[in-house]
Amino acid sequence: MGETIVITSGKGGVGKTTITANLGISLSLLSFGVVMVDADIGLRNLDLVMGVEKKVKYHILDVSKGLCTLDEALVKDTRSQAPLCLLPASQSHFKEDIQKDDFSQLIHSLRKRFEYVLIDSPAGIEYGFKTAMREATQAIVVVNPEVSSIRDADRVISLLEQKKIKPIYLIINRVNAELLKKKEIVAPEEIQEILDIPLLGTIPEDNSVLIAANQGKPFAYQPQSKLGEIFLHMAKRLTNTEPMVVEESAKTESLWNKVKKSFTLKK
Amino acid sequence: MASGKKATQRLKSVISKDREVLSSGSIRVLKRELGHIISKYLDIDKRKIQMTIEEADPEQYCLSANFQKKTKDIDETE
Repeated sequence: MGETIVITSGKGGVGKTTITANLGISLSLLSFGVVMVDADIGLRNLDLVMGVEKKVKYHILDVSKGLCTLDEALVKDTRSQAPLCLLPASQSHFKEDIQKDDFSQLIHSLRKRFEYVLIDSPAGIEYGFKTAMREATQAIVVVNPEVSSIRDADRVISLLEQKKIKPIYLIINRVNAELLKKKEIVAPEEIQEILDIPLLGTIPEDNSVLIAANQGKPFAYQPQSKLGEIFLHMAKRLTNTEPMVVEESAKTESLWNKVKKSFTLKK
Repeated sequence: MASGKKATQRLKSVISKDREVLSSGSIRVLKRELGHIISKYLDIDKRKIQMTIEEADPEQYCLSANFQKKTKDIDETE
């Protein structure tokens, strides 16, 4: 049975879909069979970011309603040598239109066929998120170095922990190097210290992310590029073929962590 | 102060509050009663207790409290 990883954040617009797409590609470059599930029912975007929107014929609700088979709904990315598929969301339904049990059954079927099932969760902590995380065996929480994003991530982490999902990884996205140098944003090591989960990677703010999404040509397909390389490293960490990131400040336990650990045994 | 440092301080404060499971009123009462009991055994400043109670997991709460030793210039009638 494959691993099921939910990619979530709490706050919207932090880059979950871009990360799901590029991480999925990077895992496939490492020869793992990967399926990406767009769980953002009603707000389908993973197909666009992947550049496979013209291949979408059916969606997840068609499968759950028996209008097509799972194979018919899976969009195969032929750019990848290893199996890499996308199960698209519906664009014309609402989150509540899919039954949680039907979603779980679909994920169960996919886990039998793929080594990694990546679930692109909708923003928020309501029904859509609860459905998306239901079958997860691991989670990735995406944050931007912004106070609202970090606070929402903390809330999401506590909900994931309540569901006993472990490990929960952190990806810090859109780190502006100039602002970081000027100390005008929360530093990645501070974010990791506050949220206290393993850091899978840090992604710099880069215009090429927007350009790649516009063109439907995910940058992970260029593993020699700066961003492609970052994702390849994250995929290796996820598959335990490379050690996790240890921020310098995290090597020595801070007072904040000592205080926190003294009353939160959850992390 | 650079805004990054300010943001970090605000986050630590707000996340600590978010993780609390009791209202500030109940926390005050608990803090007072706890201070009263602890002071029977330790020479502490009852005005300077830092306490947090959180839900560690669905089955248990975790309580953390810091008590400051009483200094000589503290009004004993406090």
